[in-house]
Amino acid sequence: MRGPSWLAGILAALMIATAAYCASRLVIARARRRADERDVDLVHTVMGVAMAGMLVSWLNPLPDRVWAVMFSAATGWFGWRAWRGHRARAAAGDGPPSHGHHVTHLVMCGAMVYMLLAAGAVAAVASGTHPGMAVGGPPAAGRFPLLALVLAVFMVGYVMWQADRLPALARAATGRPGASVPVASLAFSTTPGGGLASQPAAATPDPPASPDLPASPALRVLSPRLAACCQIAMAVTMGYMLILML
Amino acid sequence: MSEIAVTQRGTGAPGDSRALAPADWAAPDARRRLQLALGALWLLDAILQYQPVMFTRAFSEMLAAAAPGNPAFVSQPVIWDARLVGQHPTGLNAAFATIQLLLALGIAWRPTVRLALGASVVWALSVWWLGEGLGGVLAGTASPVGGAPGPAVLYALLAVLLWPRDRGDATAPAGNPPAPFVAARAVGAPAARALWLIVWASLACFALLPGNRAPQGLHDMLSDAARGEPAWLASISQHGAAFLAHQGLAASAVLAALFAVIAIGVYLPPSAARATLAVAAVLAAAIWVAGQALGGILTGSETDPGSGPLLILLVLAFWPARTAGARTIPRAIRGPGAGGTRT
Repeated sequence: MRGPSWLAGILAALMIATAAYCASRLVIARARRRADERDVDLVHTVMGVAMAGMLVSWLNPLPDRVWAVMFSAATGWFGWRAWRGHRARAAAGDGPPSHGHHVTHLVMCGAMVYMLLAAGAVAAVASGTHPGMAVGGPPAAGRFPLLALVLAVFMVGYVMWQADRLPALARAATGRPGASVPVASLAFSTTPGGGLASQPAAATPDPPASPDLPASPALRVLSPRLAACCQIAMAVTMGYMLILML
Repeated sequence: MSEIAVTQRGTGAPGDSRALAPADWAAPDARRRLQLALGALWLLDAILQYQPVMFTRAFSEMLAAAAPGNPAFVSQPVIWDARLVGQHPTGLNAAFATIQLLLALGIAWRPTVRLALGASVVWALSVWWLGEGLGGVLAGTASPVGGAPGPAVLYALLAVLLWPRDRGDATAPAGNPPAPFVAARAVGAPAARALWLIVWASLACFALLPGNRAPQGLHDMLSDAARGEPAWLASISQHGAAFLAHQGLAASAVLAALFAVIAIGVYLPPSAARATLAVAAVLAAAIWVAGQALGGILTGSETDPGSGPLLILLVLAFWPARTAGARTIPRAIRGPGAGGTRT
């Protein structure tokens, strides 16, 4: 049994739009020479495409094993960044919190690996066809539904945590080339990927800009609030896909 | 005018005219965290409602199962609702799931927290009536081990207790004593305690209903909960069932006594209240795991995680504040859902 095809189609379209948005962030950040966290946007671009392919099989451009290898590497990358951030924070004593948002990316990448491997395990039992989101099939060894539930609960909690902070996130980024995060953001500095970063990345604050000047469309694309909305959409979709693994 | 910067907690950056994000945004306090937890449960419900099986006639049959034994004013609307869902399973289930999704996001988005909590009360009470048949309370089949009085009514209760309002705060801002626990902030301590008493005393009564105190009553309930569950979870329920075999009366009496103690626990001094609340949390968790098998969500055919998490949330809402001192946040930095005294 699979989820309703129309629902999978809607979510796949949402994920493709999210991937396109993250790709545009990469392009704009590069064009404006902003020190954004490109790894986050890159992983989200790939994740959006992969999730769309998991929801709608014919959208999947790569074999599941390739995706699994890619997300395993991403998991390792964010694990390393989270560990490095933790060490930096420990070294700084009571300094600013650091790299907490990388744990979120770490878990999301890990969830992708789980879903890809678990779907493959189910397909190996059920049939030889492409699994897509092979949900509701026979209980296969290695599927670990409790892990799916734990990851889904994490996604749900992340959505609430992120949505609670939306009012505090800026609607547009600042425009200075080379800048990474807005000024006055040490407590809740927003990452380009939409996470709540905590590194003092804005060592060089942006110059004051007139509040009467509307932000350019490019800066709106880099908006922390918009990025957070995309992360919320991605986490909700991932939560749904994980629940389908039960 | 656009927001082009992020502010620190509740304050704009000194001299930063671009700090146009809400200046009164505050980090979540205890009540706000509980609101978010409630919203998270709504979101989990929404995702569970989007499961494939809910778009089939099985969902309609699940609803209809709540009708038998109930008086006509409950059973007939339940049957009507089940029939309607059976005729339009896709559209109605999608609508139900989307409503719950919006409730969750509305609670998370501070500007709409009141609207979402108010709507959640209406929605939860509707579900309690039309979807759960009032939890079997009037049918005589309610069981605290099975989730009575029904998760939906607990959602409504929590929405009321976590309402973003500080009772009496405006009249005595200077010497106003802090609320003894989070749930007291919205409705006042006496009303909150009365609601707690009603909930847990009713659970004590349900535990003594004939079906629950029958020799094999609790045994059968736990055995049923194990069906279709993963082996490890089924094993817990089956061990519990074996332990309770032919012990229905004694087990029900013990349960009822525990619920009664918990019911009066919030009237005790803080240290004793904490002890009874801890017992309540442990009991709710044990019932949730062994009696409800995590609400059956691992079977892929349930619409909510059961009453356990909601009872635990209720316990947290009544947990005595650590400090008796008036540790208040200046009104200027309170958020709409996060104002008042930290508890």
